[in-house]
Amino acid sequence: SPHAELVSRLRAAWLSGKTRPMEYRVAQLEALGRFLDEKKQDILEATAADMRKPPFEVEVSELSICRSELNHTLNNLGAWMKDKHVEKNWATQLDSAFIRKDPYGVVLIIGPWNYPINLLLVPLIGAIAAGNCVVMKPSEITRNVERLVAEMLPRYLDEDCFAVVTAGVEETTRLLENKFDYIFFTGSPSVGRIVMTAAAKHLTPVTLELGGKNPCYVSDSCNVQNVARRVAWGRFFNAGQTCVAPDYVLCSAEMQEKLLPALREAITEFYGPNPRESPDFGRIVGDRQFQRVQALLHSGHTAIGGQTDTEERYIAPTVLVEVQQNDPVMQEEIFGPILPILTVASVDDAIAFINARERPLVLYVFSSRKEVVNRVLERTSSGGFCANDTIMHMTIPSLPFGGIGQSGLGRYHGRSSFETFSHQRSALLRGAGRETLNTPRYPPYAPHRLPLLRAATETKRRAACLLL
Amino acid sequence: NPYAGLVSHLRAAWLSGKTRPMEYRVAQLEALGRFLDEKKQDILEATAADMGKPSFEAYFTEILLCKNELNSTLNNLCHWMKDEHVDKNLVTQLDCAFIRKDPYGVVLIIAPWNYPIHLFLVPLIGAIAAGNCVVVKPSETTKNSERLIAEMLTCYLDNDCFAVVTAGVQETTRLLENKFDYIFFTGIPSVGRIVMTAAAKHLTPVTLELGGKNPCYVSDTCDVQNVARRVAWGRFFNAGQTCIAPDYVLCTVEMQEKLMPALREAITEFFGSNPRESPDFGRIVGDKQFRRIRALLCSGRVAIGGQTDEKERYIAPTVLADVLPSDPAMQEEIFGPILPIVVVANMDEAIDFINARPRPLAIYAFSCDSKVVNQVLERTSSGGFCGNDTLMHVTLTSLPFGGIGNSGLGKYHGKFTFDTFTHHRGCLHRNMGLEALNALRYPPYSQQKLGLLTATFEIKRKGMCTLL
Repeated sequence: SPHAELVSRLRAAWLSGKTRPMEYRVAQLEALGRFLDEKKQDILEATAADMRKPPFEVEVSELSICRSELNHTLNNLGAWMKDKHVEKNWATQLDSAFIRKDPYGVVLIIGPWNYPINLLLVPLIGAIAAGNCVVMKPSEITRNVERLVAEMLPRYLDEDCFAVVTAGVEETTRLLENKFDYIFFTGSPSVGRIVMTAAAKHLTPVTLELGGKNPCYVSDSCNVQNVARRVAWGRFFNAGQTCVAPDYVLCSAEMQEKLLPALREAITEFYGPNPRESPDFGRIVGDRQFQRVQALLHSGHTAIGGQTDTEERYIAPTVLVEVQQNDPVMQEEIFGPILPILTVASVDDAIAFINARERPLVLYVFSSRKEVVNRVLERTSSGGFCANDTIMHMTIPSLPFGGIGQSGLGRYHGRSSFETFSHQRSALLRGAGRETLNTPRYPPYAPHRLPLLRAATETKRRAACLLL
Repeated sequence: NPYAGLVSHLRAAWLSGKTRPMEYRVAQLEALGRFLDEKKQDILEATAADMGKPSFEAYFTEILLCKNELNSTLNNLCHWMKDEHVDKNLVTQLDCAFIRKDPYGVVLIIAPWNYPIHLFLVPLIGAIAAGNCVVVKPSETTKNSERLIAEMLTCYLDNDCFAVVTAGVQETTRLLENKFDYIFFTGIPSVGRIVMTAAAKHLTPVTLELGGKNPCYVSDTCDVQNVARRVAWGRFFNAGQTCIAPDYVLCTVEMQEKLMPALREAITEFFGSNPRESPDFGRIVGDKQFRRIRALLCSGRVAIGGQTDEKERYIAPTVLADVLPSDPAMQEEIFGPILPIVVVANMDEAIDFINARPRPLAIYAFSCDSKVVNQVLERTSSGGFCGNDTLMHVTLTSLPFGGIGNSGLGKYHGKFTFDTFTHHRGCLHRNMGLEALNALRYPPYSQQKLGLLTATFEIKRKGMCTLL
């Protein structure tokens, strides 16, 4: 195995205890911050070269998000690392009972190509904060960022404990044969299955951040222009290559009538009359992905956009109407700048449509009416949920971010990242003496001792909780 | 697929929303409490018939500890179920950001034979509390308990949402082909791998409570008689068939000399001069397991006990001295009433010995010197840890119970069970209006907008945390 030596070297470093002190972790995290500051220009250039990412988008979705996570972690690391003392029963009153936050050991982070800095670094922040050693595998599809990360990141981090591995599909399969203590994967569900199956051989815990089709229900009571802007923004950011982008709209036929001109207006407001000339609209990352997304256009009827350019890998901000459930665009996650609209008769029909499908990473609802929002929230299941906007739930580190069912397992961001990469180890430290406290439990068993033993260890039922 | 109908019936029940109201969950949990009260005698008789479990032990572990978990859950359920509101950033100040506790859906619980009631009931409590529908697969090895569970449980719980499946190895494999929304497995690591591999096909999250060899380090500074009692209690409880039992002792040759008479005394104190006649000492569950454990006796030298009776599946409380790492007793989890002592030179050697092996479910360290206990805690990694006692850390519902590496993944007990079976769904509910707040993020992008925008959501680094 080509990576066996690397993994065993990192494991030895972890066993040495090097990553345990808070000062060490803070130093590595601060170094990561310096990487983001000093290499900012290189990051902007690499992401522009890889997929023509507008620098504004990179600043907001790659750099600023990472800085927020970094600062949030540095602000709270001391508190998160502390032993958490817990409630005791009678038998253990005089003892010390707490939860110790231990690292797992050697963590593997596999990053995707759509937000190649964010989706590699934000998990890395949590893994470092929790005291692990880390192997990072950036996406081989975004070549310039891959090279930047492979060459530059090791200069900032301790090479004893952190390494970057560049690998295509075959080498990644070999990499996964090694025993890791935690695997964090962001990518498609089909590869998620492969990762989890490989992890199962070593009983390695995993977090899988996958994807799916994120539904966007627009009720009849809403501010149509606001909805159009917020949905268009979420859909066309990064040319649609966002795991939490609204994938398709569900609304009544009447709402569709109002939404179309509003969407047209929003798109023009954002990108001008010819989005191809806008510096603020991205491109599809590669030829294969471009062909896949382009094929989805044969669905329903193109109401807005639809133009493409193979050489530039440009697909115009597009809205499709009269889309049927069995159309190509409804068979897979779109991951491109195409927004299909499907009409439903009512909110309950929308809920039934959503529940008949795989559970998505996020569910969007637009309504001025709180009851509608709550009805959808209560009667569906999804990784996350956002009402009256798109994507914004991702900007709050204290909201756990993760999928359910096909869209993933596990969660991270903020404290959830630290907890993902920590083993919560229960610890009970008793006294060496005070043996009389233990005598009721020893044989020879005496039934008359049971009430005493019970009283020492039991949890009684309290009066019913009136407040919900 | 013989179970497809059952699984889809349960999934439909879950989708109907039947399990969501707190009152429903409380009613099911209270029914479980009545099962424990009304069927107490049947439980004691079934476990006695299955493996000669002393009724004192059965009452404590299979009934009392379960009631604690039930009461702890009923006392706190409404609090655990509540939406958890989280800190927001500047741009979301006026919004509602919270974590919604959603059930996963249809949960599968596979239980082992050593504590056949406790190890299905405690996970079941959490699964019900979290609003799931559940399939319970009790162990086929403890036939009387299996029958009791299959016949009785369905009389207490809502058959729309909860089912018991009796299955051997082959049918369990078929059962695992179905798509569950969570799988909770307690058993051995090799089967844990099979379960996780099956789960990976459906991207089903899992908790695996496995096992291993739990080391028990006894330092030279300790109260030998207390140590002997506490270790003997943990080792011989349930005739050694406990996943967290101290599996082997590490100590100096001098301490071995002192421990031996103390252990002899403790065993006599507990079980009399002929433990075979004691009503307080259990038997091995089956012939296959009996023969496996008996073979481990050819390790080191038998210092105490060593007698066996195949017909009764009796193995005497046994202590083996001068055991070598290559001996049979050191190749697998013992899971029987045999305590090997492996001699080490000092604490550092004990720690190295532990760290060279798969990480165990529990590590025990006995010392009057708290520095020694803390050194072992800090320099090793395990599911849980107990200083100066055995087993007791799992009687606290406030401490998470789970393994790491080969000993398992995930954790439960108390609120941790509820959290295990709950999907933490990040929710953001924004205003339909207040569009001016969003203007900064829309294209056309500009540098001025960028500065203001990042100020609205980026988290800043606070003054250094001096308190740890």
